[in-house]
Amino acid sequence: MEQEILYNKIFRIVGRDFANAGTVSVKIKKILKEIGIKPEVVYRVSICCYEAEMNVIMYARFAKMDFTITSDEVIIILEDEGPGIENIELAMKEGFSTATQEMRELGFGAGLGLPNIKNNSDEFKIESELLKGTKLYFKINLN
Amino acid sequence: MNQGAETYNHSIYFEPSRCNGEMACLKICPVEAIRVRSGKAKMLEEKCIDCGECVKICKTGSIVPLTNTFKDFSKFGYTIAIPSLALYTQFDRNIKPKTILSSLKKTGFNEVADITRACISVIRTMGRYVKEYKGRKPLISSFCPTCVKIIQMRYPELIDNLIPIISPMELTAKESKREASARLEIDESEIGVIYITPCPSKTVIISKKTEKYYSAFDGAIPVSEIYNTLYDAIQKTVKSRDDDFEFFDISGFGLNFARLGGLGFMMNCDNSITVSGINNVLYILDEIEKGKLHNVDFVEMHGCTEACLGGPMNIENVYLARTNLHNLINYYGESRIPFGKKDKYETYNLIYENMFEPEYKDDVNIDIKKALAKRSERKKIYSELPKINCGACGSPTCKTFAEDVAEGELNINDCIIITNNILEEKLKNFEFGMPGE
Repeated sequence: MEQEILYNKIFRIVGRDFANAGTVSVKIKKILKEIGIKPEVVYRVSICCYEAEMNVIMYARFAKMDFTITSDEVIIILEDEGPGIENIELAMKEGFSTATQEMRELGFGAGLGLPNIKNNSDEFKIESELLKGTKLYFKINLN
Repeated sequence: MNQGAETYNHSIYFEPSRCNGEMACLKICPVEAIRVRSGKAKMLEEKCIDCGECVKICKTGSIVPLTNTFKDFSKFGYTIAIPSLALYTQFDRNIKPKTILSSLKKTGFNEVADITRACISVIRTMGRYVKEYKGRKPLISSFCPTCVKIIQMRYPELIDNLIPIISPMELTAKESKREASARLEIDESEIGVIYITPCPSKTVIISKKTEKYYSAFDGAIPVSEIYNTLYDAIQKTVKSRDDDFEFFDISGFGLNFARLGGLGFMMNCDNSITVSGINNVLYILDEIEKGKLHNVDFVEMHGCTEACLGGPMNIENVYLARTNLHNLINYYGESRIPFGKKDKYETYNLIYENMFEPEYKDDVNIDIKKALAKRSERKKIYSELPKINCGACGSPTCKTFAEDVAEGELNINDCIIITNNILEEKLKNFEFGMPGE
């Protein structure tokens, strides 16, 4: 059933832009807080968005994050242009990471990103095409 | 506690009869939790983080810390005072902690206890915890109740980063209580353990008794409350020199606990940062939230600048206090963890899993459509405002004013700039002259 879209905004994320890392998820968190969404939900959404955003910054060239609020859920669709994921099953495993030494020194690449999004969302889908990009879809219930 | 209902969860309260409406507190509040209405300041309970900035700045004394006085402890048969390390720095540099402690006892306590040994035990355990921690970095120190409260209220996703360890004061309180009850063969409930505190926020922790964790303290007396009595007692002690017979096991290394940056130093953690002052804390928490500090192992966080020495209920100015502390550390002269000394607190469990939980009001399910409408209304009101954040309306910023108007608490005409513009417009169109001319 199609739900009425109450709020929609599209954010752009640029790969390797470590200076602005995390700003999109902070913006989303701020919007949700302003509306007065339950803190547990805000917490889950911001964790998911943060992980997704960092994935783009670390691996992809460019992405757009489509953020939607309906009367009972938050839907986020993230489409990136990047290397794609070779083995999705492996990428979903906790602790698996293809991060370089440099990224690890920055404190990233613990291999928890995608599993973390899956654990904190109510619905999660991932599609990827090698050398083209990845599409991430996740949904978090408001109540 | 002398004020407020059971549910009141704050360490300060606003006494309207003393407020002169000068609004010094309005601008200083880092979380915009103060409004001035009809010339009197009031606190928004769900926003206050107990930092005490308003207590420091208010000259009228209308913002009152909810602490105890001596009278509150008359019900206890036996009392133990445990001072914050900040107390040692409040007097002349020649007055040593030994003198302060024995004088403190004379002001009316059965026993006093020093916390520096407990500091070392806590730091040992904490150092191990930081080293063995595998989760998301950085870890954050949890000794400042204000910082903990900010995280519980505004950054719930960082709760797991707080080190769930009890403070040296709590450890000393537990041990002293147990010792005294065994020695005197009385029940622990008859023993009152009192904290001599430099800040009001500790009292919230003391009064809060959750299922998982409860404080061993029975109350707190501010340093400022006890200062004059203690000062007299110290003068007498110095004259009679009767503190020579007392022995307190004070560790110079343990004193580093009160020093800004002392925690990282004591743990020998070279990959740590120290932040103090509430606005700096908020800034660093934002940075952590954005993931900028994942490569830092440990963040030492204090709501007051210069850590607890800068507490609002201290008497000595913070810079002199800092020098006093450094002199004391040099005087006792231990530069690292002393070996060979038996750890009195070895058997204690210091780490409490899930010690901290998110804190926010229980929200009922909201109507998103209405909430979004309200949000755009707020934005619309805000766009009409002058955005100079003058605060004349009694709300700290134009943004908060817009919120208050949207909530129906204020009227848009309460903005003096808008009202002035309306009046000017009216004057322009007003034609002077006699009616009927």
